[in-house]
Amino acid sequence: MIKAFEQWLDDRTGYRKSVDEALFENIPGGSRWVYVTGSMLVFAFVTQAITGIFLWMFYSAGSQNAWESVYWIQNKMQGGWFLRGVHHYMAQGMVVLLPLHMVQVIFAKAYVKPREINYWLGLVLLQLTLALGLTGYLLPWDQKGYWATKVATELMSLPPGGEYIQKLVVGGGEYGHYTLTRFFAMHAGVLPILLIGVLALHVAMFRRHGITAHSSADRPDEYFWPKQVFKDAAACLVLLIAVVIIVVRNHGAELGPPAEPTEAYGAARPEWYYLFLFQLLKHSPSEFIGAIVIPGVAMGFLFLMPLIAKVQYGHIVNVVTIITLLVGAGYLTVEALSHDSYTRDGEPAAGPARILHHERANAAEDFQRAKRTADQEYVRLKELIEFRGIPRDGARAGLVYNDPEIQGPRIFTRNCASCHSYQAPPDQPDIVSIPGRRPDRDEQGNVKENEEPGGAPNLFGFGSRDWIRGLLDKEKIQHPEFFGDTVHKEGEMASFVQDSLSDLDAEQKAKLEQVIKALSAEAQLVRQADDDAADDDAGDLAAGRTAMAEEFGCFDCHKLRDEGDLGSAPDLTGYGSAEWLYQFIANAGHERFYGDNNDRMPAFAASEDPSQNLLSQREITLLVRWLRGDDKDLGATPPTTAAVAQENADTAKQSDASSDTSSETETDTGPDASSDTSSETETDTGPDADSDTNTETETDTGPDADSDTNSDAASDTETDAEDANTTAASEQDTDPTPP
Amino acid sequence: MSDHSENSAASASGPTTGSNTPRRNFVFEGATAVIGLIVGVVPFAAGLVSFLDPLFRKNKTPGKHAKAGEGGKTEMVRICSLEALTTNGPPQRFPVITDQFDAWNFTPQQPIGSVYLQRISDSEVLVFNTTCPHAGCSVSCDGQAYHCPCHNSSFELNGSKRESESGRENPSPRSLDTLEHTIESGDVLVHYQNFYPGREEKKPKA
Ligand code: HEM
Ligand code: FES
Repeated sequence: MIKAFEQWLDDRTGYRKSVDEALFENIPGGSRWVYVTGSMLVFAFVTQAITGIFLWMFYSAGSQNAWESVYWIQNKMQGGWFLRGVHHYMAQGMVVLLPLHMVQVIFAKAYVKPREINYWLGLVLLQLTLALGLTGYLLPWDQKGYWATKVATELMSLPPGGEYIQKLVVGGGEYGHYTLTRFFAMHAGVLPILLIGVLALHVAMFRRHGITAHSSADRPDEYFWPKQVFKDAAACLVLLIAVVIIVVRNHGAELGPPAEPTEAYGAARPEWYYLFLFQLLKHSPSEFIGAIVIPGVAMGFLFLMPLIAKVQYGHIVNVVTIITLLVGAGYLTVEALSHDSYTRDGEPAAGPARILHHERANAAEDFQRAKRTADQEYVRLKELIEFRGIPRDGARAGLVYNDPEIQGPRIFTRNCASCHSYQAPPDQPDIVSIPGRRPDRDEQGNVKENEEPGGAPNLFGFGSRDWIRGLLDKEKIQHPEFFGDTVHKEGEMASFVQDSLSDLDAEQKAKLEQVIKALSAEAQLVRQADDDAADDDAGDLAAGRTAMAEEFGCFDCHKLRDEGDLGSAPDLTGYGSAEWLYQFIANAGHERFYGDNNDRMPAFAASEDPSQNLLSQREITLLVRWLRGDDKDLGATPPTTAAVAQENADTAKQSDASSDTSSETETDTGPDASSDTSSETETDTGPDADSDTNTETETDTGPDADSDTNSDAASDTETDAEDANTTAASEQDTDPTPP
Repeated sequence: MSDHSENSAASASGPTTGSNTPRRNFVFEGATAVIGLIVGVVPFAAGLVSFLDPLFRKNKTPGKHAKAGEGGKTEMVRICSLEALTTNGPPQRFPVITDQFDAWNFTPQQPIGSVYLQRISDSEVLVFNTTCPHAGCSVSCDGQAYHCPCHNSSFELNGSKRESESGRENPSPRSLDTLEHTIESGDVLVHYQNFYPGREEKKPKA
């Protein structure tokens, strides 16, 4: 029966001949393990094609969708992480196999006459595969892919006429939708088709020439089938198992936070297999030489190898060169990796080596911190997505842009970290610390003694009990963590702490503790709310305020509520609260704060005219909310039934409001909103309102916003419902009895 | 397959020194077939699992928007107030506004469909899905009857299918789809569902 069918098929297709030709090709000297690399590459490519086409079904090119769709593949789609992981790591497998395959070919002298053309086809396949890796890496549109690819395409503009090439590749002057659509078409369409075409020629030509090998007495010839096929298949299985293990261990491929064109990414590196080019660039006298000339010459040499082999010793030269190139690339890769993991341990003796050591350590530190920050941002973003979902304008505009926990550290790093640090204690290793100013070094690499103070306090936990306890500790106040690197080191506060807060008896210590609680309560920190309330009930806060007046004399300099006067020291009323902090950042030299005693703290938003200010209201608000930790907890538990009912009722009110735009849904968007300690904070705070546009947020989130009668800055739910409401309104025009 | 008088182009003559003439070597052949199957199937299966995702997907509203009864009872959506409807007035069309999922995008309070409401007494309302049960077009109402523009099916105001329209047979297999609803504190709440068109039985799409 089967025989009959085979006969029938063979009569019509002649398939037996082709199958036989393929399977019963002679291998002089018999099957060998070294011949497996070619088949493995074909297998890897087929795997890429299969997994790639499946990924294609879920992937969406476009700058508001690409990251989001990959996030969904990675986190929400059944088995998506595995699929993506296989594609990601098999791509790397291909890149590892390519040089192995090439070395095998060259060592076996299989690139010379009559196989030159096939060798060249192989080089074309190499280029196509590398291009697939490059184009694919951009597709997830995360920070690492974005910046890696961006650097690569910037370099394209170097050769003459390169600007045009770059524009064509990028789809315009800047990265955007068209970059993704183009890269995707290249990655999933043009390049694979070319690769398949060239691969077909490559294999056909291989079949024409046969394998380069020699029979010998002790190694009899064999047919391709079954032993070589077995070896090939077994090698593919090993590759597959290796990839699967890596995928499972890493739970798929890494995904970073979404691309941020305006946020320089300190850990921008190409995929590891391009690292040698990256490193080469660092060693090169110019970008043009490092990125174009040297790789171009090397590639040119590879193309010329079959011709070089014709001259005497040519083959030897080729073998030596290819080894040199590979060792060189390997060395550069290792060097790049080791630079990024450089540590400050083992400081060399003073001199140029010490300077270099610290420069390297700084660079590596920045790199590692950027990476950890990106990881932290991703984790946070995941929380945000679980809590809010991904809005239609994408994760970046809809979630990242307005999130204090993500934006706070970024704004701090840009504007504050030149003096302040944000250093979490060692028992909170998950919080990525931001170092403040690095010490100046002299020509020997030794830390310079500064005549002028150049730092500012560590702001981790500012306003919390721990922070205040530290400030009022005579051991700590003159430490750089607090006033040690500022003019206040020798100021009145420091001498007060030294003189009056040392040698306290037990009773005084208890009073000081009450002062700490009372002062910290002024900050109204969300995560301290329960403690504050309990201590208020216990009378500790009032007692603390009394002790400030009577025991310690704080109000000789400071003002707190009705006691004391402004002018000589910062106002303690609402110390550390959102409003206080906002105004302090806006203008630390204001009479309410340091006045004339202000050290180097710039006024970030002292002007009425926003265009004159260093930071916008939005930025300061984000910074303040982050420093205070207002949004750290998104409300792990879903809102209570009552809250949902309330929200629904509000929405209902809105939809019934027909064309009436001035609904009085109250929106509290000032920094004060943060003092709402309930879980509803999320619904009515400006900086988070998911779909608020930039300008809207800017106008709504000022410290004064609470007095504003802004009716249009609705909570995100309402904003989202806007078009829905318009429909509802027009549908209800005929409504005879408006509510 | 056992006769190989013909050799491949590459080898002028078959293995000559061969211990290994194309005699069947079942161990290798079997092992090769099994391995070949594995390496071929794994990538494909990896894709297939994800491809089948829609069959198993259950959307869960993100934390902030989580409904009190999520996962349990059906969700009732407020459409309008009962006041807004005149008793025995013509049917009115309303959008159904609720949370929308579109793959990775979650958008609260979006129009996801529409319904016709007609108040027939003080406390009773007729609620129809506006989707035509024939093939899924959207029906309209002229105050006398519901009509579908696509293949001319028509329905009485009470939703029942008209047998024929000017002599032609009504293509709809069933009457307009009614929707579960309640009236609570003066509001009309509807459990919005879509149904598979083209069959007599009214089967909800999950
Ligand atoms: C027909 C062939 C292929 C198709 C249809 C395809 C399709 C895709 C798609 C849709 C993505 C985006 C999904 C994602 O990033 O998770 C992607 C990513 C990628 N592709 Fe391919 N691909 C193909 C072949 C290849 C080949 C041969 C390579 C090998 C160099 C490759 C390397 C990559 C890389 C490195 C990524 C980024 C993976 C990541 O980190 O997420 N692809 N591909
Ligand atoms: S879809 Fe309505 S009649 Fe066919």
